Amino acid sequence: MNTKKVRRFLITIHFVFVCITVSHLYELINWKPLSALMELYSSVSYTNRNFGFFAPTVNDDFNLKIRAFRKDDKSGYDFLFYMPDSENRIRFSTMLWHFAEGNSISQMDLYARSWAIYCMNKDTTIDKVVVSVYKNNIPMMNQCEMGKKISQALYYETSFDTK
Amino acid sequence: MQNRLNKIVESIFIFIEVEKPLYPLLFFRMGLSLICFGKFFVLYSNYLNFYGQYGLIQWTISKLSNYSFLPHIGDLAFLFSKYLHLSADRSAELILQLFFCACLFLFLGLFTRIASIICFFLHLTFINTGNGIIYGVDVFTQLSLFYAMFFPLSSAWSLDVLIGISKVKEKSVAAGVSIRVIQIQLCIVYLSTGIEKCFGEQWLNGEAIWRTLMMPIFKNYNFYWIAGFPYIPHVLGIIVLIIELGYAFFMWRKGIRVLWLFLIISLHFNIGLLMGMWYFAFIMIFLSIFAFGDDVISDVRFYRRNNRMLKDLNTLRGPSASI
Repeated sequence: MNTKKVRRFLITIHFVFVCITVSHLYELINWKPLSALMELYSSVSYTNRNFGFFAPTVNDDFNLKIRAFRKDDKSGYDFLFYMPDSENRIRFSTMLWHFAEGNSISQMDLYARSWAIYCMNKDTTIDKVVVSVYKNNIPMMNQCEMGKKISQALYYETSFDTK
Repeated sequence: MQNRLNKIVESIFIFIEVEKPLYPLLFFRMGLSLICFGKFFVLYSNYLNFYGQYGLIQWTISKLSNYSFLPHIGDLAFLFSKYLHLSADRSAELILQLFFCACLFLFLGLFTRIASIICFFLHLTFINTGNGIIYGVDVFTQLSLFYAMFFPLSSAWSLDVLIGISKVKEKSVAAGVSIRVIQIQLCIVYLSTGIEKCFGEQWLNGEAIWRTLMMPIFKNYNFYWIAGFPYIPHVLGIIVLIIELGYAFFMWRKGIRVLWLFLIISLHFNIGLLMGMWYFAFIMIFLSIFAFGDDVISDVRFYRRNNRMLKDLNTLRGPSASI
């Protein structure tokens, strides 16, 4: 095979993968070897992915609150994160979206445990950490016109201590 | 039937394998390296919090949710600690410094192919380690770096040409294929995202725009007043859909693509301005300019030339001719 043929073959395979992924055809084909190959290609090249950002709907976002307690301290203090600009804030918020992705409790527990360890490493005097994630409920436009404001509802809460 | 199919395939590849100038590849090389550099430069103050061993998402967790063979900062840190006796955090910092060096090499076009492969590999390492914090900008940067490995980036005004590794060219089929591949990729991206948005009621009734503007994370300005004028987000939602769906069709139309490129740039500029997602805006604008910039410039030149010719013709005919 000459270079031209190889190039044509690779371009064809590449765009077949891209089209199958974006059109969700892989759900219809449902052939494991193909799905595995496409997933592998996607995880390396990032070209064949679902590009529907904010589609079909814009989901709610989340707030993370971490209350840290030192030994014999009952009131505790809010553990704050340094997010100096919009890019850092968006990264932080993206982490909360990934946390809630798929509504998997085991995944949420893993993330919460990771945040707790992070806090305990940053402040070694911390004895206990309460991790709370709040979901921001954004009212619809007509509800907002009637005076409804953005509200927060507790989405997930857990605690960890050093013992 | 077979003959007809062969003809269709051949005409598709004649369309893809077109000869194009190389200067867009210079823009691609420099722009991509600047975006890669800038993206991590703004995260520098929080680098270890996002990518460190005991950062917000610890390595044991990010490693768990990946294919084991994909590169991870933890794997490289293990090698660095074994052979260079560096701590995990110092290794993570060294990987970032290596990435910055690779970006500089890519920017200058020095050992371009190797630099783009290193950038691709290290960026993949970052997004696999920080898989809990990735969003659109990382997806499109990785996608661009993937393509960069195959593009003839060194042929376009690079140091590789100066030291004789590569030959300078004005036009080439490889440059044409590179541009066409990104053009097709972007059309697929915008068409698919436009179609998916159409399936959601929120984009058709304006709630999506409203929610995006009101989200505390994106709330850079106070948009409560917009609830009193629901037709504004409604119209904006429809405009977003038209721009995204129309991209795949109108970017191929001579003349109208000048308007469509302006519309897509405006859309992403507003995403940056209103949502603070500047790096996402930069990469999307950058990719569209790379893909269709040369065609748009040709269109503008063509129309200017035509206008000048018409003016010259009218002057030659004199005032009586125009009556």
